[in-house]
Amino acid sequence: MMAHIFSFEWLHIRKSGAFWGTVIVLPLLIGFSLFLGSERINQQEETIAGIVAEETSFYDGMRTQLEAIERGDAEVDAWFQNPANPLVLGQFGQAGRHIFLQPKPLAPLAAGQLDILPYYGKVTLTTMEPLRDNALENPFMQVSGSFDFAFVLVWLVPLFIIVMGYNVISSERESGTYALLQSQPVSIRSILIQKMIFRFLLVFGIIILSLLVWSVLFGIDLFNIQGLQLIAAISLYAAFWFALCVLFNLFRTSSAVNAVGLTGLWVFFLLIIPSVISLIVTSLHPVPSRALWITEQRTIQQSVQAEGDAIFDTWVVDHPEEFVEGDTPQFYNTWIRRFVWAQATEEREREAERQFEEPRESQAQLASRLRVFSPPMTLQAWLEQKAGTDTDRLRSLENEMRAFQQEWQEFFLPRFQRLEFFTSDELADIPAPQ
Amino acid sequence: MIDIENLTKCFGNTVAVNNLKLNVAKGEIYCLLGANGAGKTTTINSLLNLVQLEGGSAKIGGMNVADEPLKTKEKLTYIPENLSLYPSLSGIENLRFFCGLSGIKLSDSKAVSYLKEAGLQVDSAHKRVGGYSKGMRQKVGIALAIARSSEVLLLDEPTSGLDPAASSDFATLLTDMKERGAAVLMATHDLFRAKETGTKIGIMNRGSLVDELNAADVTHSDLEKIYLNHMRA
Amino acid sequence: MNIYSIARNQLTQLVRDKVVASLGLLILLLLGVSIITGISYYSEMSEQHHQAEELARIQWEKQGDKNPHSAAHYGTFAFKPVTVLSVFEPGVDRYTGVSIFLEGHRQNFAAYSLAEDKDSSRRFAELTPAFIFAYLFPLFIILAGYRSITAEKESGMYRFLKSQGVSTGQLIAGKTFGLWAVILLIYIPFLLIGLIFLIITGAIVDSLAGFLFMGFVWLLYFGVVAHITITVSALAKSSGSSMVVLLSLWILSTLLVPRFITNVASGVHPVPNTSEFYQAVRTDLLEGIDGHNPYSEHSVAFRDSVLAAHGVDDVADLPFNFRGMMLQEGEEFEKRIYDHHFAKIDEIHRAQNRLFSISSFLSPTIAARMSSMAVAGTDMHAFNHFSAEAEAYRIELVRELNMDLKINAVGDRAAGYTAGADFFAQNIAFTYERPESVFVSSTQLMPLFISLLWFVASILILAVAARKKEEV
Repeated sequence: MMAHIFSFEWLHIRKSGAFWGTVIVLPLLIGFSLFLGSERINQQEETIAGIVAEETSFYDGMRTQLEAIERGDAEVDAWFQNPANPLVLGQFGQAGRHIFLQPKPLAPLAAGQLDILPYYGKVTLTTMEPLRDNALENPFMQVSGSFDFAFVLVWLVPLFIIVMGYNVISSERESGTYALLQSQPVSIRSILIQKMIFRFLLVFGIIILSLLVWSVLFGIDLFNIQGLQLIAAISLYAAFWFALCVLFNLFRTSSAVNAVGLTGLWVFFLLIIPSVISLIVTSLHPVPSRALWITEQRTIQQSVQAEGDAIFDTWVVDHPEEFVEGDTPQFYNTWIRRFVWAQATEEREREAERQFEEPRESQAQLASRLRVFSPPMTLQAWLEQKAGTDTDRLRSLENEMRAFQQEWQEFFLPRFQRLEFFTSDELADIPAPQ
Repeated sequence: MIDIENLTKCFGNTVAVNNLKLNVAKGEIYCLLGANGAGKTTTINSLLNLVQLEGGSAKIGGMNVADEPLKTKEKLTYIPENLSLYPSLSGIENLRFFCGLSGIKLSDSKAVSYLKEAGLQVDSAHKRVGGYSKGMRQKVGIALAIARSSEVLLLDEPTSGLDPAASSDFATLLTDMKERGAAVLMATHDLFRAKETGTKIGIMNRGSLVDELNAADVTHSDLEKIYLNHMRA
Repeated sequence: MNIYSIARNQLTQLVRDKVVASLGLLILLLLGVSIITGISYYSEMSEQHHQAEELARIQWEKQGDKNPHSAAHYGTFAFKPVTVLSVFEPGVDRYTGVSIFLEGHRQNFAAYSLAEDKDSSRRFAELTPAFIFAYLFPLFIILAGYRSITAEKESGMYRFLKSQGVSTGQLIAGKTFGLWAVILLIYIPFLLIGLIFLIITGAIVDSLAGFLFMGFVWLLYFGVVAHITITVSALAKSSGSSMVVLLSLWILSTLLVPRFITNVASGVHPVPNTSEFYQAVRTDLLEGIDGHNPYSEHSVAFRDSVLAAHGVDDVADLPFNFRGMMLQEGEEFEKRIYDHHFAKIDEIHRAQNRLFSISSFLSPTIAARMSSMAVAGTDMHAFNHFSAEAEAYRIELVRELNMDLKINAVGDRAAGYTAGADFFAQNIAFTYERPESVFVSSTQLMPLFISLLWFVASILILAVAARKKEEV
């Protein structure tokens, strides 16, 4: 029976404009989105490779220079040019390491929050600077959003499904074939379901096929467990919209009413619910203005500066073994203080940063709970998570940078504090992020 | 084959069919006459299990329609007043589709032979139904009945809107079906056709069967008089 | 007379149509909510903005005694203004940084955009009047109008009306006016609420022109949607196909073209990424005077030329502090380099915006959105205007500091020279003033022009549809 209905559905559908429209347009949209996605990843990888190469050449240069000095082939004029000095290796100029959130395999599929939050940053002994690739981007881009696969899937695919499914039974009713259908020894419901399953398989097939073909062309690897999960998610999402179409076709509503109703649901799930959720979370957990934060930061810096001597003295009392007293070079006296003050500033700033973190986290938590009301939002969040471009992951950059800074400080600070310079062999041990 | 016992159906406060009793045996053509709203279509719909009955029963081949909606539908072919088929498919394809729904797989040549039997030209059979006349579409309906060897044929005003030649063709087809042993129930306004083709004639008024005659027993003018008398009563 | 009665009939039908009426009410409700939350958000933000501005100035003045050039390094902040009209049209506001750090030697990017701190649900949709007008309102118009002519045909009314001597043109005109009436029924209350809000906040004087322009821009957009809706309804075979065509146009205009063109634009006119940009600036900076490095080639040459001009051999013999002079010289050089590179970025942005403008020939939504952002003062040009003002202030402040060093750090006071609170309190303060005119750049007129063009074109196709002879 199923095969019979399928074969006749095929007879019908291959004569419909909606179907050919879908067959032509959907693969093109998917292709274009994946092209942009793979371009984005290529660029990201290029940026990462470029920075890593620069970093490597800097430290290689330091090592060569230090070897030359050790051999007596070269000498340096000033302390800040000496590659054996922990400050030169860990703090100044090009010194320091970049931490990257490497693009995940599915990253080409969803740009997520990448246009707003940075995916890499630089760590030195005192600084942790997230670097935004796109600070110069035209902000109109961010307003309109990325044309990524997630957009095609979450926003556009439902519209194609609605076009394919809004009138499956209502059109039979309008054209009069319903009367004959009713008198057949098969229930209308089972015919409807089978027709919908056929259309579902068509749309699903078009999506999956074009996804796979374009992915192979653009070098996106989907032949793994992640790819399977993606396909499962796509089938669930498509099934959801087809189920809505089934629902509308069960009632005795006209095709026009079905079209309006289904589009209305689309607007509801994709525009109304998200805007209401965003309204609720920002009203319940308002994040204070960053304008004030900037001045607050400055107040903290000033307070540390004002208490500078006291802070340093306390530190010396607490850490006598980490401070060399007596006739030490000027740079030592300057920088040992700076490190102490930087730490104090950092601690106080982190405390103050909570006023942003807390509402931000509450917002995210509430939003993720409310998202269940909108399958499109749920899918979008899931895709971003799989792509590693969601807010959570991008925010984790800060923690990764902090963790690495700790490692970095543990390597350099004790040597600096004891004024023990490095030998060229030791340069190989300079920590690097995984 | 068709047994309607004490059938009652109301829509809100109006009684559409009232305590109707009607039987159609194999090889019989039962013509149901009556004004618009007399309950003819409701009677046919009850045989298709499209209405919920307030009382009585509708049986086809001894099976209660309400209990066995799909099984009883296997035995019947229904041709609505304005038989609509899929306009983008050919007559053959339409026939194959509807046969397939009752589990009968037809080859193209088989479908053509059934359509031919129903009086459709072979070259028309290959054309899209979109260009068919009502008479041609009804022939596809009859071909469906032949192909499925339906024991019951339910017709709702099949001859309305047909030109006299097509109407006569259709009557011939019905007679053929009768001779094959089908039980035919036909709702119609066409007194002439009822007398000509029918074996039995029932007259309905306001939901009740008010008269039942043998077609052979009456002349055309008698039938008209009897009918009008009932309507004016 | 025919037109009037058709229009009135259409209006009555629409108002009585449960779906249309409830959607209209829903839109009014959403508009109301969006304005109320927008206002409270606005007042909170502007309050915090004022506080921050005051605090930043206090911090500047109370930074303690220090060398003026150290103060240049210490720097201060310029805060992006919070505009009243952003309640109606936030534009790119959420995506541009709220403040620019102003310091000697370099031009910084604005930092901390609101988007960074907000939940990402907002990227689907944000309840603001502009969002409602750009996306939901057209849907409402389509829904109210897609069957306006087709339904008359389907019910046979069309034939009847024609037999009564109503021409196609009159029918279309009447339907159009009827649809307009429904639009205004929702839009006028919104405009009144907006005006009342502007009066209450006292912003009416500064922002009335912008608000009226914005109201006008959206009205043009609604007109375009309404006219296209009626045209499609007049030409469509059935209500169903009219609906499908109109929805496809809606998707094209609001979703596909904007996303498509912005992503294409960044491919066709790519902006360098941040590190490339700084790399280029650094390379160019090496070519000039480094105010901090007296031994660089350029610095030595400059020093020698100054010494020669004053006929002395040692900088100590100059009648002013040479370091102050050199810092200022370096600053001006650095500014030229930065300006040059930022101008290049600006050129790229302009090229991108030109593409957006061109694409708005396909999407009236882009034209309307860009114009409304322009008149609300929340587009990129407005932001650039603020950045330029901040930069002008920065260079003037740094000049004051360097001049103080140059003039006052002489003789005995040269060694360990510091300026105090008195001096810092006298330094110019930054108060950003939006330009008087609604438009800050002539390129902003382009989308407005295209909006007008769309409006005229939509009337023309309506006229063509009205003249089309057809069998009934």
